[in-house]
Amino acid sequence: MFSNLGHGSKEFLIIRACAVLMLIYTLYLGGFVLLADEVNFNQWSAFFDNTLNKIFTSLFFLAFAIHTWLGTWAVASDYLTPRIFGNFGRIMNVGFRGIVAAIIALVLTWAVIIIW
Amino acid sequence: MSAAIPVEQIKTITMSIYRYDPTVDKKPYMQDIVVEIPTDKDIMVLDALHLAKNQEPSLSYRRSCREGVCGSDGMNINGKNGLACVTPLSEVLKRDKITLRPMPGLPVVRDLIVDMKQFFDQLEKVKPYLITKSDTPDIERKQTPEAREELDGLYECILCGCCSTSCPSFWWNPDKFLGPAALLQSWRFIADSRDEATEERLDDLEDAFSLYRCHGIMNCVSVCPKGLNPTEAISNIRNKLLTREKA
Ligand code: SF4
Ligand code: SF4
Ligand code: FES
Repeated sequence: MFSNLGHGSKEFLIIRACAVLMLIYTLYLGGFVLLADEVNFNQWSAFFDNTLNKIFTSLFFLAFAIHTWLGTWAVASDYLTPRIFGNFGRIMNVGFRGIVAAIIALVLTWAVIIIW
Repeated sequence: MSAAIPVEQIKTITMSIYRYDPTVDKKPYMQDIVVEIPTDKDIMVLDALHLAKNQEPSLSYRRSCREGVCGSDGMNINGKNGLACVTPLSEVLKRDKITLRPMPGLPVVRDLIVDMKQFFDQLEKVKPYLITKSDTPDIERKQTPEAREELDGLYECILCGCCSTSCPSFWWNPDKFLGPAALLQSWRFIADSRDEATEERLDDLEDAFSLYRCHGIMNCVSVCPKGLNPTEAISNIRNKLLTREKA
């Protein structure tokens, strides 16, 4: 896909596409909550029993994972660098990326367990 | 100030100026220099600097044209980058005080003089000259008036560095992110109807840093003393990158 695009362009589009998907999902979920007269446990679990909703919710978490991973890479390559922190910058960068990876993995595992 | 000016037409102002001579100073410091300026006319910040230098001959700064053409006296005036020679003192004096520092982000050579190497290295990367492949015409490469108009707002850049040194993305990655000035020049040649290296120019910008580190903060636009718009140029290039059809 997008074989005509270079690395930077692809990343730019992916980050934005994920953001749009998350926004749409948020609106969709918000719409459900607003339109329902009352959100009780039964309605909530019926909503998430629907296979399409399950897929959509999973996509949301996937988009969250990609968006967060790429976004925090960009932030870390601005601030957590040897330019700013000397040799320690590299360690901070790797450490930070490790923590982000762990959080994303945790959220994804959790999401899969809850949704499916 | 010469003695010929009547006293009532003189007032004193305090110039707080960044001083640093790496050969003698352990670290930079701010020096207050009190100068007398005329009140019957407005002078530029550069004129005030000359008055300060009369008192403090070791004070160093760059300047040449003193009319906004050469781009050598970019500096940080009360926290905002600009050219001292075209900034009226009256616009920046706050309670008869003004603060001058070197442009941020680049190594200081001395006082208000910064080492512009990183800035020009980035400019060099965008190959700021026409590249042609077709045969050289007998007389000249022609351009329609409309195609020439495309370059308005691009060719006027005087490479003062005010924009790039006010851009956070350039501060953090001055070796990887090209910065607004170089990107404006990149677009200046991509947009030139006579240039024949558009694809190669775009290829060179396809990594995650060179262009994509611009986050549209628009500091560059707000400081450019020539009223140019690097952010717009950058988004023009980005649109080209995203829409071009390339094998
Ligand atoms: S774009 Fe404006 S601020 Fe930037 S280098 Fe050119 S003239 Fe200076
Ligand atoms: S718009 Fe882009 S180039 Fe201009 S200051 Fe902001 S990040 Fe830098
Ligand atoms: S001295 Fe030339 S631009 Fe200010």
